[in-house]
Amino acid sequence: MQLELASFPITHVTLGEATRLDGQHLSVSREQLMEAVANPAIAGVDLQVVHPGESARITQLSDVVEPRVKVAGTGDVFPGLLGPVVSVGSGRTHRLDGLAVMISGDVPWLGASGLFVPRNNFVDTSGPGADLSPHSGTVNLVLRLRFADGFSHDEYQRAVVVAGLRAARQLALATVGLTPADVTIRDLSVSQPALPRVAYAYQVQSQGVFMRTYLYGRMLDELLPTLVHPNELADGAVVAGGLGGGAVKLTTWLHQNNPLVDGMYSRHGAEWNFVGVILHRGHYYQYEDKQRVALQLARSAQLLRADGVAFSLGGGGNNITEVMLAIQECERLGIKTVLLAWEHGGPSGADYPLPFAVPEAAAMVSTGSMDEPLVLPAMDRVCGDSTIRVRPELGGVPIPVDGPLDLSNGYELFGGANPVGWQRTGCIEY
Amino acid sequence: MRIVHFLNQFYGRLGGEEAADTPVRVVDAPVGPGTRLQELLGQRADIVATIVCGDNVAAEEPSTFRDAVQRILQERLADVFVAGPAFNAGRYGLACGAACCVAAELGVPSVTALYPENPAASLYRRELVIVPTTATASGMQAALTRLADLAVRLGNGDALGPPWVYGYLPHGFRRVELREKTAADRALDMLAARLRGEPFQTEVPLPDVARVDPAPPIADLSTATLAVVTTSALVPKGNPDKLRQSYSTEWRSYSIAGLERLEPGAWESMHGGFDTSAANADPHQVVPLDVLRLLEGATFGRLHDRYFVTAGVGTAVSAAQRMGAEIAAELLSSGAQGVILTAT
Amino acid sequence: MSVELERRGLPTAVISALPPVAQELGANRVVRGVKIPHPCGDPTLEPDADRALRLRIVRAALKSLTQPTSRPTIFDPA
Repeated sequence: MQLELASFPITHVTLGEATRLDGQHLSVSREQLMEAVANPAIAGVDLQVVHPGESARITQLSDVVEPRVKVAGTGDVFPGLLGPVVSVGSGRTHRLDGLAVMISGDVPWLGASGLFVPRNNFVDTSGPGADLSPHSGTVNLVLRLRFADGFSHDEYQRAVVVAGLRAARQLALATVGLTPADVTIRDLSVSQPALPRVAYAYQVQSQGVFMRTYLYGRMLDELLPTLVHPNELADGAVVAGGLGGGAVKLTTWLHQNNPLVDGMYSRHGAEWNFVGVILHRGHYYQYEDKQRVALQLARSAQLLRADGVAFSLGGGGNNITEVMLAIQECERLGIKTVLLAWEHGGPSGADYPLPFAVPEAAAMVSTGSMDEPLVLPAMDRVCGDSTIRVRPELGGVPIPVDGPLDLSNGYELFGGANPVGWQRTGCIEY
Repeated sequence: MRIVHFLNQFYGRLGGEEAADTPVRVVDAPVGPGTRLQELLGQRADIVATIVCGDNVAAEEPSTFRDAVQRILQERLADVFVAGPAFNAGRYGLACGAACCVAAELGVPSVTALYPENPAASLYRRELVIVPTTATASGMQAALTRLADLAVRLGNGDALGPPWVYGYLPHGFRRVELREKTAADRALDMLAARLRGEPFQTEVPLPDVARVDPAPPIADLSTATLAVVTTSALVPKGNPDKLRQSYSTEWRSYSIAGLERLEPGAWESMHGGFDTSAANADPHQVVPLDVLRLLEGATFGRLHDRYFVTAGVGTAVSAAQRMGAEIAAELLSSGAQGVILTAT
Repeated sequence: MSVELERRGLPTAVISALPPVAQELGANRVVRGVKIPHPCGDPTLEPDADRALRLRIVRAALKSLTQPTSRPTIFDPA
């Protein structure tokens, strides 16, 4: 199954009469976009553009999506959500490289607390905070939604997901008929059979309306490890569906641009043979279910004849148990593992950084610690609400974000835990 | 710069195990490896005194040992204190650590040298500057060289740079840094190295598991007082004391005196890491008061008047240890003999 | 926390839905709980059955407090 990923780099975006691509400049029609995202649960949409390097703080994000559209091959992007359930990952897909649609907006909490809240967040596009998030480097087209009263969380959530996907696809339509700057061939065919085989164990989070992931439009709350072709990720088969989110959030953009997937592909045929992606979720409440996940994941790797598996974490907390058990099982089967993990060692980094570990997890890469206090300067501009709510257990305590920030940890920095390794963060021991 | 050096009986040339009871003595000159250390220090500093002490003395008479070290450091006007190298010797390593702590209390900078797996190293690495050595004295020269350099830096009042540059054991504080390569690239590089059979360096160490000897079992359960501790963050409705939802560093206790049941609606779980609807609909799912009352007075003696609660989400180990110690103190002073801890 | 309680002489029965994790963290007396959000019962059962389950779990916890253990031990409710 071969996919041609055709890239159209974008360096500049303006709002204009029609949606048109001119070189690396995209003009976006507000009217067309509004039509695309229209939904009874959405009372209004405000559009803003933030270019990389601008001093801006973007708040209240629910998802980030890269504009893509299929121009050849079966199905279309975001199957099962925007279009029918048809297999994707072959033919040709156009992408606007360097542009991100951001869905922002203060989702009503409706009395929710504890786990059941849309976590408030922010992203800085310059200054020290920019290095800590995967979404500071793109031209960000921010769709700030105002929500209509009287809908349920599920309805808001659905509206948010579909808005992002529709907007993204519509913008990508501007590339149809044009010549891309670059075409990358994505193909798992084996030309060097002697090379070792590697798989990617991709953990996502799906536990209710605030932390949801979709595969071909199906919610993954009951997911046991399943095989996915990396090209399906490129075509948006996996979509982030949660409202809000914090440091550990995996956005749709990250599902589309996962650096572990891209990295495995770029070394395919040279260092190893990339054999596939094992999609799974963690946070199962019962130990036996964690064991089931681990066994099935390892068995899938074995059936793929993988010699090595890379692991990453979807979300924070006891989901690391599934991964650690899977690592243990893989190593017992003779499959070599590497784990990309966030650290949780307390504010001074003095505590053991992981909630659980097995002796077999001898190869780990740190993505840095989200427990470390975060001090950030004021940005020139706040794109979105200038307060965000922290401490949901108290009903939400608003803190202003339009000045410098002095946070006791990094949990509100969207994507800041670097869950799939996009950023250069790590931890050094002093 | 005046350096005081510490050696055990063996390196102090008094003998082996048979001399392990030698009390603290001081020689106003370098002794044993101190001679080589002085050569390495050159003009930069003088070893004005060497404290020699038997391994058993430091272990069995700690306050005598500490007082002696303190007195000598003060009398000899030590600018810097150097202990060892003790390599993998356990008692000697502990003595070096204890002696360096005495120096620290006096405001005298100190440095010692231990094999990283010497128990004294894990005990003292947070507070002390420890040069990592070989397990045996085969690495004496390298250890002394590093000790000399660090001693001079410390004596000059220079800030000690990062451990990997200056050659001492990291204290154990892990901080966020931006690396050359992305975390994804580093992970893929590590996987490639493993597949090629090449050496690699993990970025996250594996844990030392906390183990404690089990407390003796309760001899007579039928008369015993038991208490409930829970990490489920179950609190009276409204969270009157504002228990933190996650990353808990505080605990609370609430009265259950006279209560036969926990009525839904009167209690709620503030936990931020799991679906709290089951606990909110029926608090007994996390604090089993209903069946405990059933068994009270029959299977066991009585239930403590209060239950103890925290939110076990992302709780740092040290915070959990402190809370456990505090709750234990409270329980012991109020007559509890055993605990049922419900973990979520 | 159970490590600190035991260290000070308070035998502690830890009811946990992840017994091996509790063991790994140093708990000596671990009782197998049901699920993370409801370790002491099962709300999907009829109230009587749920309560009977809770009774078995708590009995196992009480029993563990009277047992000498030389290493971390998992106690399964009868």
